[in-house]
Amino acid sequence: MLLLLLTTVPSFAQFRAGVKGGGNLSNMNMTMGNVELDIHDPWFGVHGGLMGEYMFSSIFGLQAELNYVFCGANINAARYTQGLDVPEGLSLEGYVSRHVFHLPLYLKTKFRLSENSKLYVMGGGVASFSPTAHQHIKQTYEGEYLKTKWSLYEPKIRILDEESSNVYMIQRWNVGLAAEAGVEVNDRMTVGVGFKHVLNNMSAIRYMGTIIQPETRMWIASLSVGYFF
Amino acid sequence: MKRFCSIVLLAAIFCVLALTSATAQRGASYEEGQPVVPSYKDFRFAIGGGYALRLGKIAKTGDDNWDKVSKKLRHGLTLDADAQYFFRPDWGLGVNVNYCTTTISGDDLYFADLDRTANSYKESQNILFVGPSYATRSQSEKWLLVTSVAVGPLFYFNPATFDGVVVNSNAVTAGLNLGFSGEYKVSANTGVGLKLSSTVGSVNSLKVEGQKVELDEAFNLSNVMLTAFISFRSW
Repeated sequence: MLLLLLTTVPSFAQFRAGVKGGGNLSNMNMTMGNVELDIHDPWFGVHGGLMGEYMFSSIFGLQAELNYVFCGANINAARYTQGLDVPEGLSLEGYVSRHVFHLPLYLKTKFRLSENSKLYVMGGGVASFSPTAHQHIKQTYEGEYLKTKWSLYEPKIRILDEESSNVYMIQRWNVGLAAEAGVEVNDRMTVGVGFKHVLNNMSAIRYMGTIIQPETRMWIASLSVGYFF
Repeated sequence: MKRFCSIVLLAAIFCVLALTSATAQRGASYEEGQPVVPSYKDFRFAIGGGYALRLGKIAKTGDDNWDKVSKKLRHGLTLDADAQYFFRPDWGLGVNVNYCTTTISGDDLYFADLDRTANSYKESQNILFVGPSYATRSQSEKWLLVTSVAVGPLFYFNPATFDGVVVNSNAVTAGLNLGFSGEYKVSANTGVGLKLSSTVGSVNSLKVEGQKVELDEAFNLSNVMLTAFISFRSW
């Protein structure tokens, strides 16, 4: 789709394409039976991709992007093991990692700040697809450690000979809201701060076969630098 | 004799001076008395992805199940990004980054070293090359050919999951990358094309969970990549 749009660039002076990338901070929120588990902490990741802007006028326009986002969440060990019978001396650390493709569509507006710079604000929705996501746990005891990993898209967790239900299972497709604001310099370079929040329940499993379903959502805050060609 | 030599020397000096002034008028391009030297500030960025073929031999284990799974390590996916700055009409400098990944997975695989069968095993071999490049360009109105050679570090990451237990291996070595890109100029600043490239390198040891393990023979990290890309140019 982007390729077809690029071939029409000479006809539509208002359209331009560019590249964008930067860092992001993300976190997950998980509740079960109206109890907030609060087992996740923010995690740093990166993102990068393509963007296409079409301006109807000098003030209003649309912007679509296709980004790869590496995001996730740290696991708070104390809250993760709360209520569990953990041997003394055993320490635990872990994180959730997700590889996600984001397709945001924004309504964009620009305001001139000076001769060479403009302020832009945009908001809209985002659809996302994640081919892989894993939960990583490292347990350390008396100098020895064991690293384990399981997919967040499988209904079962299997570690060596033990198997259990994967209460952390989430779905690959999600939708959410997206917004970004920043500065455009010399009609080329952009620096912006963005925020995305998943709207649907990401959880994909009914826990213990009852009507209790975990509710899992994710947010991502980003700092991006872009360049329009 | 002395007078003769002086006359010959004087004549030679006059001839050289005459020749020099004639050559100067023929060789230089003048504009208002000053030679014009064109300057180039042409920037190009390309990003793409495609297929990677791992080079080197894959060891036969004698276990049909293992051999069938191992063959899949030969084929993988790649991401490639190039940036070049041409400050001469034909050549410039830049940087090349490419990432190649191959993944295998299997059930009921027997590990002789552990005397244990894995219910599920997954392994991915990932190779990342980053290096400064020397690039040349040749172009017509609608086509652009870019060739590049780059030298830089080659990073190898190999996470393996054995029934949920993770074992990480990694290594670093020097790598060499060669690339040939053919591009069609879709518009004044953008293009699409195909790139054929190869990264070459090998290691003699790996770090497995922080412990150095010497290998019986060199482990080949080389590959050949065919990628489709989109490019953005400033000229």
